[in-house]
Amino acid sequence: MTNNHHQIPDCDKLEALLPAYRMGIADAEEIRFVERTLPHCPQFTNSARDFEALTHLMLTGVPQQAPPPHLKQQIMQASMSHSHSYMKQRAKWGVWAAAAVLLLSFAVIILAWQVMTLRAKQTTLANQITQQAQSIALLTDPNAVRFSLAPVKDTAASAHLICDPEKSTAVLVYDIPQLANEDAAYNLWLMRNGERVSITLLSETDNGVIVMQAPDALGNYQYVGVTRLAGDTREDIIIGGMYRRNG
Amino acid sequence: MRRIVKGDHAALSELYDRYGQLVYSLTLRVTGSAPLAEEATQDTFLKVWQQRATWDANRGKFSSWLLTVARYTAIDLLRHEKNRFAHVELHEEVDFVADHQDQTHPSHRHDLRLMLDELPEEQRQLIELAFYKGMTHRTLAKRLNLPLGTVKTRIRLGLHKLRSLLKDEVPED
Repeated sequence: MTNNHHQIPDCDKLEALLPAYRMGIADAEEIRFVERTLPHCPQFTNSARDFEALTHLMLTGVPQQAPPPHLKQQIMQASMSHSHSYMKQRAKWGVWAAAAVLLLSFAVIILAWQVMTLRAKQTTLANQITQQAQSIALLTDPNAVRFSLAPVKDTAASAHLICDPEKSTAVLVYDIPQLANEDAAYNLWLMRNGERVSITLLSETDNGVIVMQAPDALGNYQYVGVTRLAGDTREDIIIGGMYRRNG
Repeated sequence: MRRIVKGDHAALSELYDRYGQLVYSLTLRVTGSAPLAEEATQDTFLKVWQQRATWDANRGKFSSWLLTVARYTAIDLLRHEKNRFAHVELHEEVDFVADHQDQTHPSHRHDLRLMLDELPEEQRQLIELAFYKGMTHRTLAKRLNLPLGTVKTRIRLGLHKLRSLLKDEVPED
């Protein structure tokens, strides 16, 4: 302990308590004091060593008595049975630990899966909100134009595009009945100077309306189309239309 | 000890051959009873066996650790004996040196007996009761009807005297 006012180690008190501490006969409070103070009073290191030697002498200097002959056998048997029960207990704990690890891993996987699902839902929701905001902005934009995409082949598909030629965002409203029934993908694309730029795949979950994002202003493109991508890599343009500024 | 740490039973057997008598003698000194000393000796070696992984070679001599374990084990056993101290006359507790002069450990036969004999009776008695019987200062004060401060002072003076005697008899290297 140190003096509260000056923070000076109370080495005198330590000197008085050190013998009993080293001999293992000090009170609990005295033990705490010595252990706190001893590192601050290095002058008593030798003294502590002397009392340690004295303790050793007190432990070893007792009158010697031969233990009963059976005691060794008794101790060896007890240690063997302890080892045996220890191993059994250890094995038992091993099984429990493995089961706990397994359960914990399972719980972590479930939790991770739920987090990922929630994040995906959150992302989808955020995208939908963004698209809705962009749609609303576009629908109220005085510069927006609207034009229809005509069926290229004899399909029941139809669509029209709402966009601002100066901006890259547009809304495509489409009705492709076969989208829900066929095992094929429908690709929305733009064409500029004869080069087709793929934008996105249409999905029935879009409910017939998507907000599409072109690489740059829509006014730079000449044609909009949707292509059916069949499993045999054959591509059929089902609807398309020339981009028209006047809607 | 390294072999014991690895769980080698043969090493435990050798350890007992080497220290068994020392441990038994110490526990007998503490408990004053052969059956209790047997129990304490067995408990001591089993503790060493069970806690072998906790032994740290850097913290001092193995024999000191073993005998300290033995001492506390024996004191604990003794404390479990109900009203043990109430029925034992103090002179029975402290006269072991005179009774067993010829049976002490060869390397300490003279040292401890002679050193303790050098102390005033009231100091020797207190030190032995505290060290070998595990009596606290308060218990000693109550049992001997002495002020607590007197008990502490006598023990301190006695231990300092023993230290001086030890330094005289065993010069430092």
